[in-house]
Amino acid sequence: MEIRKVRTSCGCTAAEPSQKVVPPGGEAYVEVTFDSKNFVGRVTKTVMVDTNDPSEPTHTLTLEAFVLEEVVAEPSRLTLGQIRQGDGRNLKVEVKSPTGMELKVSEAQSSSGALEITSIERQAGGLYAIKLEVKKDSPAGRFGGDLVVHTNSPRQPIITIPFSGEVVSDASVFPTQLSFGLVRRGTEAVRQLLITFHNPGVRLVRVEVAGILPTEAQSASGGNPLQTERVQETGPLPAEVFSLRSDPGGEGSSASGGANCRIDVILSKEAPVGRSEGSLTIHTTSTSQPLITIPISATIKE
Amino acid sequence: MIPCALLLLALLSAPLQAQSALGGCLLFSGEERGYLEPCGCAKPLLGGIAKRHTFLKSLSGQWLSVSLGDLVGGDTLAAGHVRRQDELKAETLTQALEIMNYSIHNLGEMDLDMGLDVLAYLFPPGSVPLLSSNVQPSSPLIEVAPYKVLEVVSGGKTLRVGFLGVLSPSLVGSPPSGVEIIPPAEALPPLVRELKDKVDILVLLSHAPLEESLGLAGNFPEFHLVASGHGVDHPIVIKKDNTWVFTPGIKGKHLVLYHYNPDKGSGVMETVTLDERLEDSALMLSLLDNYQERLKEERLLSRVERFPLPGQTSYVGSRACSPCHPAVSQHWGSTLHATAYETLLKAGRASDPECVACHVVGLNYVSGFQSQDISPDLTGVGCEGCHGPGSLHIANARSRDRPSGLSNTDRSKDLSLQDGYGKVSSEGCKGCHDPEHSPTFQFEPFWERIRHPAEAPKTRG
Repeated sequence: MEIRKVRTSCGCTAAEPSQKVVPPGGEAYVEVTFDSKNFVGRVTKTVMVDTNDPSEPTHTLTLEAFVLEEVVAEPSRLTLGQIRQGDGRNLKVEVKSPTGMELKVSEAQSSSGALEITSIERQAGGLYAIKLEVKKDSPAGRFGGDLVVHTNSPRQPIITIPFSGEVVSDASVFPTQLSFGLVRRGTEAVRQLLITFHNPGVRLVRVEVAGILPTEAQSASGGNPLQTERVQETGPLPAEVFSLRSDPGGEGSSASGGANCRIDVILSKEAPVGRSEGSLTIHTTSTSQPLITIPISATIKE
Repeated sequence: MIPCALLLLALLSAPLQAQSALGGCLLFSGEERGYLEPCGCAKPLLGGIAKRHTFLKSLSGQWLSVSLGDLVGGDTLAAGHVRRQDELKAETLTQALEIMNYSIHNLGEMDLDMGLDVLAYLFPPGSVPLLSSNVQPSSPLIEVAPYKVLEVVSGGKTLRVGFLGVLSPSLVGSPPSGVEIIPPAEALPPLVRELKDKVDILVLLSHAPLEESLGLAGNFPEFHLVASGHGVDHPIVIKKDNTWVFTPGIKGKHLVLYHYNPDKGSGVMETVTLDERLEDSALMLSLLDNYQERLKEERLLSRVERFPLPGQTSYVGSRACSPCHPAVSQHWGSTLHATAYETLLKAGRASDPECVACHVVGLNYVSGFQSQDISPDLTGVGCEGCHGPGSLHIANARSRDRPSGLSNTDRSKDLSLQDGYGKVSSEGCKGCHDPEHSPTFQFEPFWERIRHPAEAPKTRG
């Protein structure tokens, strides 16, 4: 049997056959080297051996490994879900070494102000407890980032714990910025906005949309800060650059209130070439969030 | 553990031209993991929605396309990662799946991690149906079907195909609020009983490690197919008793196709690698252009997480190195490292933080690259990209640069690497030259491409 080629499923694995031709009744082996850098936990890798065997032209060898970490964090990621504004939340991440090395944590940083580190304590058994807090007065909104922990481990001097969550008040909106991206001139495009009301006593009043037509300077620079006044056009005025899907019950919005609603924002096919920007203002009965403003943008090209 | 006998597997080789001969039935793609297109640096270029669309369009017959979960995920630890970019990728992928007429997306743990509101936004009514037999979100905004029965024509006959889907609780840890996850062993039996006599093919979409999927195939022999969709990067097909257990691998680089012959009562599995033989679909390329423009409109590059460098040091830019190291600097200017940012500009990816991270210096650090205008000396893979931030080294050199009665030779020794700066290990290269972006990377030959002359530092006048 002729071993024509040995392929690996990823650059982390190298494989080399001991010989290219295996005589009848003979045997050969494939030496496989796996670089465990960039991997932790259970890993499955494959090696394909192409031969001239017509009944089985490719053998796939499956390799299972469990890559041990010198330092582990528990939990390894923080999915916090929704946290009601005013409630706050206290959390703890434990950092330890399963290999028995004498672990030292020198420093930890959170990449988001929404999740603050309150203390780093060395505890019995050589583990470190990193205490974290989402403050009660955190502003409403989605947050996410990484908790970065510096250790004395030569293999893992830095470990990272991703986190995500959302502080919610009476209402939340997704996305918080509405970009249309690149749209061909003469094409109508639609993006949706999702409003969720977390307080049953709060409802949607109305939604307003305002657009700014691109000026020559804006088009050239590729964008400008959001403005509150529309640019006056001197030529034939195209239809509104941004508008809302008409809804008989909603005074210009596609929804007239309720626990949740979806709003379709339309980019006019009359929108001129260049970057158009605007904003969507959501009026609610909430005292803490009477107005929610969402920037809108689109780039029209020929 | 997987039985040893199953570790040696035969996969049919898959020349792309042969696929249309199958004549339709089921098509599976693995975890998407936010992989919209291959990195232009990688060779070969595998996968991406543009090649997948071209391939799907080339197929003859009727196909039910199934996505095995995880629109995003994977490398949240990668340099340049911005969470909002994940959401934009997920939105682009759901648009792509819809255009490609996918029939099902099985929920994965990274889908849940995005949050229920985001899922509801991504999968509005009328979009690609979400499936999970054991995940029950409480949100009224999301519709997750516990099973799906769909019809497809195969071998000239209309077949009823039943799909169940599970997400391994082991992958979720503590489920986010508003989500209940039932163990598959509890969730599946009533649904299997309900469907097994009503369909021609019963399929389990198992978002679980391969071993767990094999276990489910053993415990539920009613399934004809068990598609395992977690954590295996290359296609694997295993025949376990009368059940095909398989994975298409990750990131849509490969597909697994199943063709059922009703006359024989059996099916054929094929794997396909979406490689450079496939043209890019123009429709998907426009979707990718739209995505890139959204990154620009939302100014994601300015939203990259930035950390202070440890030890009070900072990046200074390659220009600061040249007065003392003119020969090295001149040589560096002739390498691809020096023009890495220009390469990205030409590729139209200079607003993509995930790409920019490996084409500039220090994107994730406070003193690192911010933009071409603000930090022009940090574009490209500059000196500090390999040697580390240089501010302390320069400060040390300056403090030793004062007249001290040393000869030039002695002074050169004095200004050498005695402050510990500049040592490079091949491990440092792998931050960017990783298997995904630089699959052929080997230190020695790659080092030869950028090897610069050893140069004793030139003293300042």
